[in-house]
Amino acid sequence: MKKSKDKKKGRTFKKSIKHFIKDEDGFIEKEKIIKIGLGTISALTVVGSLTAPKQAYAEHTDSPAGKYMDEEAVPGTTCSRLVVRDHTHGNHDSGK
Amino acid sequence: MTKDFAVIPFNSGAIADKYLISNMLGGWDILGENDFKLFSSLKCNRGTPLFNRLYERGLIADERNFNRLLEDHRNLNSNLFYDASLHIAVITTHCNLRCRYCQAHAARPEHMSLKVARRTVQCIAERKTPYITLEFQGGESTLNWNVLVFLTKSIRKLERNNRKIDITLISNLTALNAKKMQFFKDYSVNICASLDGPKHIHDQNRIFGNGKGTYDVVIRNIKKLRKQFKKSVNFLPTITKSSLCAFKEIIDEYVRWGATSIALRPVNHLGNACSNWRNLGYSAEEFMTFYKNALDYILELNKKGIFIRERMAKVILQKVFNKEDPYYVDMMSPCGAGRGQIVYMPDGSCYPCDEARMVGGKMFRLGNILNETYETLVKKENLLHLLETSAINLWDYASVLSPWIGVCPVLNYTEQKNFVPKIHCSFIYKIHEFRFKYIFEKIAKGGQDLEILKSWVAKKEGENEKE
Repeated sequence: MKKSKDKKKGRTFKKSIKHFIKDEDGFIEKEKIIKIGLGTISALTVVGSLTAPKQAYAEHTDSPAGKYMDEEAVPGTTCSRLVVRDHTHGNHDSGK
Repeated sequence: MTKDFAVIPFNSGAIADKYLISNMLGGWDILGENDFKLFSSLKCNRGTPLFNRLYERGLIADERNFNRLLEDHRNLNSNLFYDASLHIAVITTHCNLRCRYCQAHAARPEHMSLKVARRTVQCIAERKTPYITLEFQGGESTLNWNVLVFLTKSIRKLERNNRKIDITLISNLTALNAKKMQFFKDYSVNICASLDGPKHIHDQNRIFGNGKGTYDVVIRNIKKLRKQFKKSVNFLPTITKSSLCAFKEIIDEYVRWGATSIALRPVNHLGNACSNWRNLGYSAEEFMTFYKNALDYILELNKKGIFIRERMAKVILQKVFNKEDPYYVDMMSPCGAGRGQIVYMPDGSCYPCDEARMVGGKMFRLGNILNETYETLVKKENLLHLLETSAINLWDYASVLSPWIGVCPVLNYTEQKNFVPKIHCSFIYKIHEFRFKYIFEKIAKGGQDLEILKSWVAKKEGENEKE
């Protein structure tokens, strides 16, 4: 009975994302799949953090003249250039 | 004997009659069958031509090149180290048009108040990023003029803090007058207008409430902006079913109005497009044929000396050739929702991305800036889960495109009603994948097409980036 009621709801968004993640569907809980993925992301993030150039965490230290971080901002490191620019998306085109 | 080098773990895939190989650091190459067999059986010895080539391409590492490879990797993913710079203010959900594919249609349209606008400015000012883009979205933003003026003037003041500010208006260009045009000129507001192609295509979808097409008004205002106010206008098409065979006409129309870029993007299955999907929609495979034909035509025009680039191709080429991050939030892994962009709605509620606010509802809503801090909003559990489900390594972990490709979890969810997507059934992922593979085919074949593609992202000497 409950199933048919759920079906009637059709394409409405009634569940929260958390609900979805916790919901079991098939042989592997989605939560477990996510955990495996999270492990990968965490590992990548740790690698990224360990290797991130110092200036990546600095606030407003970029050279106003260009879009690369200033090489002299981090003397003594091999990490001289970190590209930073403004985010864009598909719903506008600034012609850049 | 111990080797003093290592082959970095890689994925591979067939491209034309060759093999594309890539690794997570963004190193890649295209190999013939014999070289691929040698490489994949790890029988590549130091000092051989193949070794030297793969070493240079970042597929083999040793102590000497490892720092360079890490730096490439950081640059390819530098968005991970920065706060959101794209702030989308939906200052009204009112619109004077009734476009057939409208993705942002609101049942109860409303304007943003000055109170919400002030709080929006405060949130943007607190961001720790050197670049800020304020983008006006709607509805039709120019219908809430007082708030548009307030936000523009307030955000421009942030330039005093040594930040680079871009302000962009997304508009249908049908509600403008000379006063508004002068304001855009005075405050350097970039304008991006919807233009679906020549009149007979544009007017099929983009119409006033009385059913009349908007093409003539749009073109009149583009001419006026350019001639009287020396203001450039960029365009953005939405590709619907009737556009699929008209790729030449659409591109020619863009060339006619002086565009040097065209973003060939599919119509999303959102908003009004859902109910009109039979007339507007198509399969991913149909769009792929369109994209292939259109890209080939653009390359032909370039060969004739007419410079025009396809935007998604450029995003891909920036990643692949330049190993740099284009900060394109729709093709990141994890995606840029909440990390690279954030959306402020008229009532102060916030969504992590433009697509999420189009879907609306509580599922993706982060909260409201009127009673929560920005920091609280971006630490919400639903955003974390959304980002998790956009990590491409989860769903296509052996893809040769994984260093560069990304996908939209919101579009996947609306399509499949599941946050655990069947990725190879995803409309948008199939299209992204095709774009990459078609461009890699061009790279594998070489010749003039490759030279043209490279020129789209070439840096001039002494220039950081070509824009």
